[in-house]
Amino acid sequence: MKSSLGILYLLCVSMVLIGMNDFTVQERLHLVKWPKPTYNFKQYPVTEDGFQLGRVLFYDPILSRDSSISCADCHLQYTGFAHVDHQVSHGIDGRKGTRNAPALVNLAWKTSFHWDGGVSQLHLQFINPIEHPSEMDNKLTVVLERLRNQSFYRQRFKQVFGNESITTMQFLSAMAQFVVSLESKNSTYDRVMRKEKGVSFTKQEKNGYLLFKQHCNACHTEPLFTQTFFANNGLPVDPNYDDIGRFAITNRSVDSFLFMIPTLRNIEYTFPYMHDGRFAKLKDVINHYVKGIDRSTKNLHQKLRKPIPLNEQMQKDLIAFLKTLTDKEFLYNKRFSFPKELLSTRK
Amino acid sequence: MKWKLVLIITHFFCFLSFSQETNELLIHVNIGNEIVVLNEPIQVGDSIITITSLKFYLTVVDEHDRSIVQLIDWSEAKTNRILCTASSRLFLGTDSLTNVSGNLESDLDPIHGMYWSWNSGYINFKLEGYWNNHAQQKFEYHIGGYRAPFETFRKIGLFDSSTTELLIDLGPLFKSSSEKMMPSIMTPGKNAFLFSEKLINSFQLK
Repeated sequence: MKSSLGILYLLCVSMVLIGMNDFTVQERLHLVKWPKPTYNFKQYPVTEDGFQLGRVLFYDPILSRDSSISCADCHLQYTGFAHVDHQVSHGIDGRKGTRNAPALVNLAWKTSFHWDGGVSQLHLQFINPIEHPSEMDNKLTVVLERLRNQSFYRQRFKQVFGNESITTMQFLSAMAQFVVSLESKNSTYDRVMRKEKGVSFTKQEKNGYLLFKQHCNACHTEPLFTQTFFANNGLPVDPNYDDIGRFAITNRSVDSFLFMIPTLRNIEYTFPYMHDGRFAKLKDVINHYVKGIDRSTKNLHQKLRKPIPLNEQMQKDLIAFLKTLTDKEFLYNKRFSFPKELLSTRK
Repeated sequence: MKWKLVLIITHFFCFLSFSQETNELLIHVNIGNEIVVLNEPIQVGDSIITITSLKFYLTVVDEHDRSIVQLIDWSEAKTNRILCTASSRLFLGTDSLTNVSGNLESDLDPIHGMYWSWNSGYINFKLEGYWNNHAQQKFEYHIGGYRAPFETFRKIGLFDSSTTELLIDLGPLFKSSSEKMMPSIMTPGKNAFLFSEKLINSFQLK
């Protein structure tokens, strides 16, 4: 009896282990450590064809009024899908916006979009850059009409949605399928956390990590290195923009000067920094937190009310750690790059 | 045989409870005694008002709390009517659930120009035009917002079988002179909230 129970036990364990082989070691560990995505994959499922359609749309300048710029113009893959070296977003006719184009990464875990959190769902976000006068300055109706006029898109939409109607929801859904797939989770930091063989922090990176946990993790919380709440990090208001942040959305004084907390993943490549792109280098950002915070500002985040004592060496260590968040597999993943093979088939 | 009878009776009562009589409600928009026609000037006291665009959402909630949202666009005559069942409630605008659901189909499609892309949500009531035949003396009211404390979704009234018309008199909105009126409200917030409080008095079921 005992031996048959033992065999049954072994069988069960084997079945569980075989089942787990559907995941790689990395994925299993991520499944344990990462929170569940907030994106509703049941309501808005991602298919391979939908992803590829969204990818073409993302890189297609047809979305802008004069067909001159695409989403990828302000969200470049090699710089973490941010707009490197541009303080604020650039639109058609050389127009400028008022905020820095944020990095597009791990969006399945985000609960709101834009620096002020004004957009509540991912697929709703795309309307804004398309119609904003300082960005693509187009109309959704024009975009849909242009897509309907191209046999390439009619075929693609039919393939994905079963018809050639090309409705607003179909268009936005395809865009979302690509963008929600931009997942970055293979940085040095991730490999160290997964205890991968032969990967470890240097002494400096480790020091930086400890400092990070002490001073930064409350807002830039690992493993996503962001938070769902908004914060005022003590930046003096730039009179050129007079940006009141989340107050513009909620009209509540407690939200004055609060902004989204950006993820730090690939932070080495997503410069310039802050909602208005005022800091060009990571050392400028650290310098702000050490001695630039305006403590008289309204609604300053409580963690920033006391000075952050980081000497020069500590600042260097912290930056060394932040660079371990670079995920080159993500930055150079051909699956996310310009879809030459698809655009070349357009007639 | 018995169970078939039970089934038929059950279906009959279900049918009765869900198939309420529907009535068509005709919508009329006036300023005082003048019927509003887009782009045609109307004398209001010492001023002349020309309305160039008028769109708004109506939400009908039936007795089973099922709601239907319809866009009324004054430039399209076919939208100046709405179907209601007895005991349904009629609201101006879209409720908070509609604003956050992400459903952009049919009348809620952003192509109708009633969606705020920078601040997810719908413009509940849009009124544009100008004063005194001067295109420069514009007014633009994009009234919306579903977040507390500045919600602009408002109850118009209860519909019954004798109700046949929804009368909207925009006259009270233009009682003040052009100088005293705010020329535009384009975002949710206190001004939109106050405007919607005043606006709802213009809506009357008859």
